[in-house]
Amino acid sequence: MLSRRHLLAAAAAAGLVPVAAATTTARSAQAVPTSSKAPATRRRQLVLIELQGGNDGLNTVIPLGDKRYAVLRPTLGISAREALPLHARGDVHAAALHPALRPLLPLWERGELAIVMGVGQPGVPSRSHFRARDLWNEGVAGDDDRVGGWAGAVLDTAARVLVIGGEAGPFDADGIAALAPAMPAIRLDAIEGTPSSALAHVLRVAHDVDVGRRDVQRALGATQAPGPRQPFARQIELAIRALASDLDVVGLKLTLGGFDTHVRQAPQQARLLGELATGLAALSTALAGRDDVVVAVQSEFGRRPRENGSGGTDHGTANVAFVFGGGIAGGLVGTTPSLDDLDDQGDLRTTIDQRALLGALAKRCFAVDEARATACFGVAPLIL
Amino acid sequence: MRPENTPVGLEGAAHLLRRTGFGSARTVDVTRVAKLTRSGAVDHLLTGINTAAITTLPTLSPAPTRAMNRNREALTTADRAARKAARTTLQHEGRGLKAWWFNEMVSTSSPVTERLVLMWHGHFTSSLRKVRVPLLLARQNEMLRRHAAGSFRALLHDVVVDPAMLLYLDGQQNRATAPNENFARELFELFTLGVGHYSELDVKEAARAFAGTGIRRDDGSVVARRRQQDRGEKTILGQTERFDGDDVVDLLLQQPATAQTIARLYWQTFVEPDADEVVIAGIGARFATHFDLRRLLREVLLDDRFWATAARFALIKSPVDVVVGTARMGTVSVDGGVDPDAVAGTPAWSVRMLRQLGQDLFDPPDVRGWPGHTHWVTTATLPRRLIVARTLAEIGGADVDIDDPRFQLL
Repeated sequence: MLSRRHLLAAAAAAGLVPVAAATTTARSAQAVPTSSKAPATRRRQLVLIELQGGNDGLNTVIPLGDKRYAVLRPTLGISAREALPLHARGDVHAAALHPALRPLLPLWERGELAIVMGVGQPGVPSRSHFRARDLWNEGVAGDDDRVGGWAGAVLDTAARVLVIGGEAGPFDADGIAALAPAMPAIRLDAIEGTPSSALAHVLRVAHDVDVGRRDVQRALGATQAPGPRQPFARQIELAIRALASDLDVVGLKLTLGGFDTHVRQAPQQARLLGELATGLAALSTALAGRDDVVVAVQSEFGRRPRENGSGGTDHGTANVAFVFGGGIAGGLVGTTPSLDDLDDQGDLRTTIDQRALLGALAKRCFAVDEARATACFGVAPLIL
Repeated sequence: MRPENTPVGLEGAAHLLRRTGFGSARTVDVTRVAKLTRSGAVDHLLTGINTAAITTLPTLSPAPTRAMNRNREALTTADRAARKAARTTLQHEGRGLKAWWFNEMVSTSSPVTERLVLMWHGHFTSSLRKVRVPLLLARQNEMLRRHAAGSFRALLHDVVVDPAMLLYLDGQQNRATAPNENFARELFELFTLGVGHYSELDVKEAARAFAGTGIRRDDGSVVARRRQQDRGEKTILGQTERFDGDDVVDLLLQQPATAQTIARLYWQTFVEPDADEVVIAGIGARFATHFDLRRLLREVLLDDRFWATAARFALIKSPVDVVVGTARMGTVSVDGGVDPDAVAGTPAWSVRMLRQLGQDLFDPPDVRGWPGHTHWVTTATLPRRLIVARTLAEIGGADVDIDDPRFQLL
């Protein structure tokens, strides 16, 4: 793989980088471990897929074994006949997939798909889209704040991420340069005069944008410039192409929006889950035989167990997350929260702290050990 | 002749005006200031500082009881509907408040006033996200404006009883029987002394001194809740007495570290990102003798290091500098409601761009305010900064060279 440092050195040698910028960059890139000093734990690329709006987890992985489900979901409920069973009927933990997720069945049957149950914020959860997203992105809980996304906190060297859809989220942090499928060519004129460190910074970032733009173009091919809102299938296609290339990024970020289903949820969620499952299936096919990529699917929160009066559901709490790849064992992870024991708002009780899931991803992808992950997230990482 | 007695010239004038005015300076202003001496030019700027906004604030609702009530179980269905309506109103008002400040910054005849208010907004942070009531943030903005070039002593005394600040840092939940240390801690750590100049015990004791300040649900005003106050003795920064909140402010003002924190804030806002601590100690010591913020700004702007070549283009423009500065160089509409899908160039659009560039007015990321400087320019934001500035310059007909990398600098 062509390292960032090599690229920079080559660019500097070719006279493509202003001297001040090249020096700063070389210094900041020095921390990148060379092959001889590479850590024992391996690194993997993290493909993070955000389901924006708050996906209804209860109709994604359906707790068929919970008698309360049909009571709380009189019109929205998915019957045992339609749902795709994951376990034998009669099992109290019986769970089934939404029918639109059928393309995921081969992955599940091969024992590669981990479904994390009851994952959410610990304590009193925020039901605000924005706060809930911040908590996922920063990997914190309650009133805590972290400046920048969690990936910035666990990566100790300069890195790049490819943001294909939505925001960079956990990768929005100091030291992580965000690349996009269509990066504008930026032109900054060379200038004479006193080189301030501020100017050097601007030139270095401009240089990163420029190198990134060319790298992305090379990796994805010079197809038509994609617009800001990519259909999900197109995002998946770009991700597959990027993963097959030598593009040096620690992560890829994709976003599928439209999950804020307060009204007429059923057709909307079915369509979106269908898009998701088709995309994930394509991704898993493309990654066959590789274990250097982890795919994770998360959403800011789940939705209220009791459906509302508009054929939809309101903001809730704990949710399901999907993870596969990178040697992760498939199966149901954790406990399905009981519909008999809801919190005072009538919402699911979190059984797995979302920070523990993030800690597990950090461990699996970014060579972070148990102690470091625990320190970064405030909880021990989930065993995946 | 010594440089301070000669005219500052075109380059000096451009530097002073850009640094104190969103990185932009109209030729006509530069030409006028160029003829003045350093102190003439600086005094000209200081004379123009306003203590109130020149544009009219939008109408904002008084603190709505329902919306501030977080205890959902206590609400009936009708309450819930009212609460939802109140929340929609608040969101609308919040967008209006943001657009108002943007307009004020673009329209003002004293951009340095706005840079000062913005600096204080980042220092004594509060966010709409937490406080939720735009009226309280508007009042805080008026308070910061009133003191922007006044007495730091008066400013700090007002900050500790500011309703938005109390809500932001849970000060209204601080009771003698159940102290909440959030406000006291940030007051010591970020607003005044800085880490290393106080102990954990000082924070605990100071929290006791601030206990019993509440906020009225109907109008958002601050009230003393006598039964929740703690009248016992407290030991704070080595002194033991029956201190109250105002006493804590006076104790903090006696500490050299407080004056230095403020001196450093001014230095980093107006001169260069890395402050020489010897210089800061000197400025801080003089500032502590008067706490006059106008004199502090005057001293910083008249420092030889401010005028040195090394200080030119030493700071990175904030998104506000990029957007407001570019808008001020041309003629940009200051009308057009708060429609979130507003067309390019309107205040609502500009406010949305500010958020995308990382500086959502009235909504700083956390209690430290905006990290600023190099954090403003990343691979994600640099292309956006260029696009936004180019769009604004084209709409307003501003004559700015966006391809010059110095456009990103102050």
